[in-house]
Amino acid sequence: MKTTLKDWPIVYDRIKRVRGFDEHEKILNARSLAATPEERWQMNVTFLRSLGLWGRSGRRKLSSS
Amino acid sequence: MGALGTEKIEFLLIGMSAAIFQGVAGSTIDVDFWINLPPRQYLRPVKIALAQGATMLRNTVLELSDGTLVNFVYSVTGLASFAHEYSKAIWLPFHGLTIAVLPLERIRKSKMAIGRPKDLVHVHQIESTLKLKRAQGTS
Repeated sequence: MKTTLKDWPIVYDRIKRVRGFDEHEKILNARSLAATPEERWQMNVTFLRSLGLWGRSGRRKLSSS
Repeated sequence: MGALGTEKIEFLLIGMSAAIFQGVAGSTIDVDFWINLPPRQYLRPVKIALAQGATMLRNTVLELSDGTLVNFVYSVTGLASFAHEYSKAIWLPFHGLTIAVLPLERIRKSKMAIGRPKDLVHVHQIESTLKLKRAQGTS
């Protein structure tokens, strides 16, 4: 079944009984698994931007740390 | 990616960006493309990217106009030939194209072979995703 990010509760339902992951990890993974490739990449970019690590200025920050 | 296709250059998305495309909940700052070209043509994809407005940072590393860092690689540790891996690629939609992506099991194998501390972290993330995909019934 093809899903998108908004379907993450459906995926969460399917993985909620898997051992070895805490609740936060299950929600994080459910979001990632439900998302389309495009949405997954956008989440990565959004996360890096939130830390100021995307683009040239971000890389300057990384190389100086 | 579209320009590479137009120039009939075969490529595979590899590394952590390929893992993220397949649902691994991780992050990476660059996109790695395994390019199927002989050594004398290594500059072709670089020239294509520069023509699209990219900035060259190192020999095979460029920053695209949207801030994406792209790395062109021509061999990958721990894997078979490009042709072999390409034949087993999965095809995923991205930016209106359908691109060849190295499957998670093969990314895991490559990262195990490279074996830097960050690769071992990625192996753990990939294995977690594979386990959840099996539970979800999509692997």
